[in-house]
Amino acid sequence: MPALFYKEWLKLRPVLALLIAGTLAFSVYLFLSVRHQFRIEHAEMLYYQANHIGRLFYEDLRYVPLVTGVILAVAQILPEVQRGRLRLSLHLPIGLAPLVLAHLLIGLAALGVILALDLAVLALTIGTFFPAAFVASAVTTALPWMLAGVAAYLGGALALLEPDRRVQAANLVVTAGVVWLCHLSRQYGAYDHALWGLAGLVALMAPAVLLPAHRFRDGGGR
Amino acid sequence: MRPRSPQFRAPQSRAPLSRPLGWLTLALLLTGVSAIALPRLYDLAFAVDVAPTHLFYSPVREAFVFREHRGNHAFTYADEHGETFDRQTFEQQIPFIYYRNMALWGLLPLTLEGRTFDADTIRDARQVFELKAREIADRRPSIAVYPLLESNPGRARLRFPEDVFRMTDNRMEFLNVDVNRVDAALTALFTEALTAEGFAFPARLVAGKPTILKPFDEGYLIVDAEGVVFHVKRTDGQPRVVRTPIPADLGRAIRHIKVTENERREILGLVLTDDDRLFLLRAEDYGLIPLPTDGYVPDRMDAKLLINPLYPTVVFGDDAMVHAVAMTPDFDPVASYSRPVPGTRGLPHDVVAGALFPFTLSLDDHGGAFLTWRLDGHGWAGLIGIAGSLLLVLGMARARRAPWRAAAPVVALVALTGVFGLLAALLVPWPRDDRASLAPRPAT
Repeated sequence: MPALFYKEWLKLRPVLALLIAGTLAFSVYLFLSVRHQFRIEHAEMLYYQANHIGRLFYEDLRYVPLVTGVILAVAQILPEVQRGRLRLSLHLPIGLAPLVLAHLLIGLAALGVILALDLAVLALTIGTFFPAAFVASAVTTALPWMLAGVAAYLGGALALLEPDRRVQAANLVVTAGVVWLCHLSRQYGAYDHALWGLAGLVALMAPAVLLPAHRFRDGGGR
Repeated sequence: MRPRSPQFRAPQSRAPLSRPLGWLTLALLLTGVSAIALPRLYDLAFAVDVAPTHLFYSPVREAFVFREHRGNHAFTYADEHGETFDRQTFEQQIPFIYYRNMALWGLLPLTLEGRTFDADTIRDARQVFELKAREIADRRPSIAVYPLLESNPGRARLRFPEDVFRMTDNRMEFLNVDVNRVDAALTALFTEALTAEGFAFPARLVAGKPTILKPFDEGYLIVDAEGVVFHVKRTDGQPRVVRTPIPADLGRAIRHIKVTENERREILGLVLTDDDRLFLLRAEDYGLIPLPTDGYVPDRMDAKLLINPLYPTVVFGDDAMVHAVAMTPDFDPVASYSRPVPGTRGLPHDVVAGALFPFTLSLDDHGGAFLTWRLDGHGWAGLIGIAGSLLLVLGMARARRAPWRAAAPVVALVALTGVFGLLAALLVPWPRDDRASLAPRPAT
C-alpha cells in the first residue's frame, strides 16, 4: 500500500503543483476584485447589496471546484486506463475494492487540500472586508460548490474507468445531474438545510466507482 | 496447500461483494437523480401554470367574490353564492380595489351604507399589509448585521450610515464598514441606552426594514432575552430606546415582526407568534390588534390584510385552500369564507404524471429561500407506472436470458421505484450480466 501512495504521489505531484498555483492565482484575483468593489463604491452600499439583495461578491468561485475535480480525475485516472496500466496494479495482492478505493482516497485527499485552500481564501477575502457573519454565510454558500468538485472528481472516475462508451455516457449524465443539484440556487445560504442530503448523494458516487472498475478489469481497457 | 502465487488469486476472491455494491450504489444514484430530474423535465414540457384564487369581500353585495383560475386562460369571476360575472362587473363589486377603474368608468363618487366615497377618500383609507411564508425570519437565510439609519436625516431621502450593528451576548456592537472594525464609542452609547431601559442581553429577535427605499425610518424592534420588546432608533445621532408595553410572555412567543414604514404612520407592522397568531402593531402605543386568522398556517400560507374604509379583509391561503375574513373598521369579524383552490389537480398533465411517476423526489425552495428535500408519493395511481416498468424490465431480463440472481435486484429496484428504476435498469450494466464477468479473464 505505501508503494501505491508513492506511485500516486509521483504521478500527481506536477498536477497538484499546477492546481495549487492556479488556486493561488485565483485567490489574488478574488481578493483584488472584492477590493476593487470597495474602491469604487461606498462600503455601506456593498454591505446592503451583500446582505439584503443577496449579491455574491465571491460568485466567481462557483465553478472553480468543479474544474479542479475534473482536472484531478483526468490527471489521476486517464493514465491508469490508457493501455490498461491499471491492470498491473490489479495484479497486486490487494483486492480490487481496496485498490480502487485507495486510489479514490488519494485523489479525494488531494482534492480536499485544494478545496480547503479555496475555502480559506474565500474566508480570508470576505473576512478582510466584512464581519464574521458574512464569512460564515460565504463559507456555507460555497460548500455545495465544493461538493460539486467532489462529484466532478468521482464522476470523472466513473466515466474514465468504464470501458463501454454508452455506459460511459450514462455515467456522465448521472454526474451532470449531481453537479446540477449542487448549483440550484443563487441565494446565499440556500443549502443550509439540504447539505447533508446532498453530501450523501455525492458520497454514493464513491462505492459506485467499483462497478466500472470491475468492468474494466473483466473486459475493457485493452 | 498454500498457492505459490497468491497475488494472482486475491483480486478474484474479493470481487463478489464489491461488484454488487458498485451496481447497487450506481443504480440508486441514477434512480435518485432521475426521481428529481424526470418530474422536473416533465413539468417543464407539459405543466400548466395555475394562478392562485383572488378572494375579496364585496361591500356592494356584502358577500365574498373571487377570481378563480383553472389553467390556460380559463378565469371564473363569481361570488360565494355561485353567481358569475364578467370581469368588469366583478371589478365593480370591489370598488375599493379597482377605484381607479371606477373613476375612469364615471362610477365615482359612490354611495355605500349611507357614506359617499370619491377617489381621494378611497385612496387615503387604503392600505395593504402582507406577510409571505418565505419572508418569515426563520424561513430564510440571513446575515445578522444591520444598518441603523438616521431617522432624522435632515434631507429629503434616507441614507445608509457608515456603520452597521450586530447584537452580541452582552452589547449592541457597531462596526465601521469602511475599516471593518468595532466602533467602541457608538457601541458603548447604544449599549448603555439599552441597558438603562432594562434590556436583557442577548437579543432573541431583531426586526427592521434595512433599506433606504421607504418614506421614513422607524429603526428596529428588538426582543430581549426575557421577551420584552424594545423599539430602537437613531435620532440626530443619539439612541432613542422605548421599552414597549408588549407583555413579555407574548414577546417570548414572537416568531417574526415585519416592520412596515407607511406614510399613514398608524401601523408599525405585523407580529407573528409561535402559535400562528397574527397581530397588527399600532404605532402610537405599541398596542397589538389580533387578526381573526383561524386556520392560518404561516409556514405554508401567505397572508394579506386589505384595509379599506368599510370592510378590512384578511386573506390567507396556500395552493389548496384560500380563506378570508371581513372585519369592521375596528377589526371585529363580520363574515368569513373558505374556498378550495382548483390548482393543477385533475388536469390531464397532472393525472399522467401521477400514473407515470410513483413518487417525486425534490430538492426545491418551494417558493421560499431554503432548498429542502421532499419526497411526495403519488398514491395508488403510481402503481400503473410501476406495473408498466415491471413488464418492460421482465421482458428485458428474458431477452438477455439473465440468470435469476442477476435479474432479481434489478426487478426489485423497478418494483419499488417504477420508471426511475427502469431508467437505471436500462443504463447501468446489470450485476453479473456481461459475459466477461461470468467467465473471468485468466490472470496472465
